[in-house]
Amino acid sequence: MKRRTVLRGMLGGAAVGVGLPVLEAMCNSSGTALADGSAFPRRYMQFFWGNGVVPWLWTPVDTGPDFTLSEGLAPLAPVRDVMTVLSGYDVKTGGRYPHTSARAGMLSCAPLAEGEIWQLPSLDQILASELGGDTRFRSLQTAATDTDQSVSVASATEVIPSERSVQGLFARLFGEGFRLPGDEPVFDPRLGLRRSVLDSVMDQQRRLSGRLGASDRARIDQHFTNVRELERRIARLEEDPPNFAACAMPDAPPSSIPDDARGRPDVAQRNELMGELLAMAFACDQTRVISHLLSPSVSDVVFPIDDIELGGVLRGHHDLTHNEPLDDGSGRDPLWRVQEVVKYITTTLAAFIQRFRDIEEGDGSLLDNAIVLATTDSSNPRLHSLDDFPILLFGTGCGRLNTGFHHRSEGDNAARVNLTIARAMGLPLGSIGMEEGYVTEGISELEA
Amino acid sequence: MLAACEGEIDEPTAQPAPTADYAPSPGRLHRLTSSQYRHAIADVFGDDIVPPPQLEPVRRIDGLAAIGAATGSISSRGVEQYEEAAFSIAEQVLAPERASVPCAPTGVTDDACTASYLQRLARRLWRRPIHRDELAQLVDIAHRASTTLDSYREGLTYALAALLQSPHFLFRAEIGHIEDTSDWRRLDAFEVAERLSFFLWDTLPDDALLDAAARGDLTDRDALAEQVDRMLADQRSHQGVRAIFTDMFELDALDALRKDPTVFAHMSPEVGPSAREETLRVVEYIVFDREADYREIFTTPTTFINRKLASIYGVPAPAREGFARYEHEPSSQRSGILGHVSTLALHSHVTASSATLRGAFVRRTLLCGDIPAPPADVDTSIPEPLPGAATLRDRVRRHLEDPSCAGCHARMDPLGLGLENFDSLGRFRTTDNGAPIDASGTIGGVFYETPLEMGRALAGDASAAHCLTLTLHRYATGRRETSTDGAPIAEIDAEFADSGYRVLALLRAIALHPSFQLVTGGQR
Repeated sequence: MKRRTVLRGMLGGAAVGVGLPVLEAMCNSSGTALADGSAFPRRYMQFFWGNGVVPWLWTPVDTGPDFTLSEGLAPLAPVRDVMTVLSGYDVKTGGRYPHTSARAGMLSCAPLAEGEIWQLPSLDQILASELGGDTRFRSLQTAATDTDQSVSVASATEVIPSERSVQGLFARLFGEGFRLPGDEPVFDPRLGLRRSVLDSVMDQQRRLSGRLGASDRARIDQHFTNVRELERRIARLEEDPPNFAACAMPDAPPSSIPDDARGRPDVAQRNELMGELLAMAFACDQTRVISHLLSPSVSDVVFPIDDIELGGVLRGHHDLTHNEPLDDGSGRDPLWRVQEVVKYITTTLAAFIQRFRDIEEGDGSLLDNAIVLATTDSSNPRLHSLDDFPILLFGTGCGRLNTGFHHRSEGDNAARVNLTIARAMGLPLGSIGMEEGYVTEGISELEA
Repeated sequence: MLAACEGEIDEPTAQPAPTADYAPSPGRLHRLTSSQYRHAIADVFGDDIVPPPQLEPVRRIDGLAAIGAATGSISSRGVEQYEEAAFSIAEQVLAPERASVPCAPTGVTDDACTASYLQRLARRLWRRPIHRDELAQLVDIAHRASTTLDSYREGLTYALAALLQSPHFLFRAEIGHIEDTSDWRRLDAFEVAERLSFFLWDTLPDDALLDAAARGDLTDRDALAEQVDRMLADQRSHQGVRAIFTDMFELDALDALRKDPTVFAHMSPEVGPSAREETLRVVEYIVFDREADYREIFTTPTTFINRKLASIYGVPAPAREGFARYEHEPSSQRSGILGHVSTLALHSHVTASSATLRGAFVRRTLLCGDIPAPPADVDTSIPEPLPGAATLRDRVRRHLEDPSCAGCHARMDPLGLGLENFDSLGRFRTTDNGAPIDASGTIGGVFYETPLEMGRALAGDASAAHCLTLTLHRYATGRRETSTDGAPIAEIDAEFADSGYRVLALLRAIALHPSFQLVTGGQR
């Protein structure tokens, strides 16, 4: 591992170098060692869904380890012992763009600039720039619904698109070239030739870069970095695969996942199949950083839930959040239809988390060696509100975080959550974020 | 003001300088959009070579993918996809059954044959002559690969894949050279050629245009005009105009059009692409067939529909498969693109129509008006239909009465309400929840009561034609205009007006304006 690394962020498009001391990216060896004595890596995943929650059916009424699960969180009961519910944290970076400001504020601790441009990288990319160098994929971006949205942002000019095909993800991770631990290295001269092609591309980029103005140069340099990474990815195929006992070849996913008779996508099934592949991507150490999107913001995904039509017709999730009648005479909660979608989402999330927990690693599970941040784009989607933001954490990052309780603050900065995660992942950051999202303090209650 | 062009190119008649308060903007690095990439591959290798469907899309910024292409970069996933595409194309091109190598190789390696092949391809793909050292590097890749794999053709695949992954193919730089002591830079002839061809054709320059660039013709106003006129007369200008209006009207989004099939029995995956084709055919009809006033796009009763669209419009289906011309009766209330499924369905919800989304399209896309974003913590819900407030107009009244909403919504909702005679898919209706629809409103002080009258009012609004000038200027340069663009835009506007608002004249005016060849910035 590099002894000294440079964390790259952007301010107004220009790269800012932050020198960091030695990184503690690996778990310590007590109890969680690999066969050869080295330690398991820490992993990070962000799990995003669009269109918020119903706040009064979300936040637990009491705090501490014995908190009562709210109606919205009830589906997460099977994983509550590895879950931390955070409430009372506000996204402070403003809501200039109602559907996208809060998710950028939550995940990058910075307001969006004109044109909905992210000014700082998302947390997964801050971590990937430090932790991604040792794996085949620096990071992965996936989506369980058809969307071109992504909440994984490397720079102002690079939003990393989500892989939304389960089959495509399988081919990318476990298709040609993938080898299981213990497999003999295969000498394929084509790999070296592909690298020589990329070398020539990088050579051209280097020369072109010198002739460009500053902002264009940053863009071509970014392309250069990504080409170099692809070259490294190919080189890694020529080496022995990582030797992780839990790594196994997953079953190939079905060739298609049909919509139901009313044209609604099977979101849970798609998410389940993706979760299986992503869990194995961690277990086989193909990547250590994942950004997964269950559903996009302003999504008109029609979730396959019966009996939540409005006036007898199917409504997309976003449409429902804005247009559910506040009193439909049923005597139920005013937003009971939206709440049904929220419960569908938390049910899906629970199954997803369980997958990571089912994989044994050392004395514990894969989830023990990971941190999962699950969040969304608003608290009350009808108001696009940024206060009391829905935030869930899973896993301890090899014992770095406490888990299994509800922690409430009164209006603290949500950026502190990200700083806490980054530090737990081994990045010794003094601060994170900018403007109203700038913080220097983590959350001591979370730190083990 | 402008010194003569320097360098190896013979300097013919100097270009007139733009007006005094003009200053160029920095040149931009433009990434090829996926449509440009596909057109380029088809141009150079033929229609039978098919790139993989997955190429990283350009993100739309400020309403245009053309601006996104001049702003964004290529992600790590995008780099992977370009590598896959490059090898897929190279393997198809060099498949043994295709005789595309121009000389018979003398053995497993033949550097001379490789060099002549790559030199010819690079000139098209990179849109300029390849430098000697660049060529040597590619020949070396092929040589080593051929030796390793013991196959001339297989080795050549790697060099071709290198050409296709090069930043010189995937990006288009605007570096230019220094004009005089100022920081103004004039694009070099090959940069002008590619700016022209991607603007007018949505693809690479052809050999004739590259030859003109090599001769220095593109810096001479008359010779340049000759090239531009040739390009506008060429069939590829249809492809170019289709790309422009696809970007402006966001017609690419129609691929993902979703409507509730339980409400809309007409809905099928075919609807979105059919609706796009209808709009593009009407655009071509006005721009090329009739060379008519652009603003007829808002008023023409002429359209081109297939059976699927005929069933949505409730009009007789074409006798044969495919698209046929159709004239709407005035009673249909379909007025140009305002009555197209593309406009009406794209700017609606899955089930309900939306006065706000449709109004935003008219205000922002068709009139280039600005709409501030809504503030956070505002309840944006629209009340459900109630007795006395059945129609959407009644229900969105609060948008226009509450001052915190009206600041923005007054710029959108009244325009969108003018199209309430069409439901979320674009079917005609006279009532909404049982109550009669009031589709009246005003554009620029002109009152209208029906969609037909709204179309005429829109066509008569001074912003409509100016907005096309602005949009095409943004499309051509990959950036929004700044205050120093005022003079060129006014001159282009005047030429557009003089032509009777013909789109081909507007394209010509932009392509021939002296500012089209000038940038600042680049090398420090």
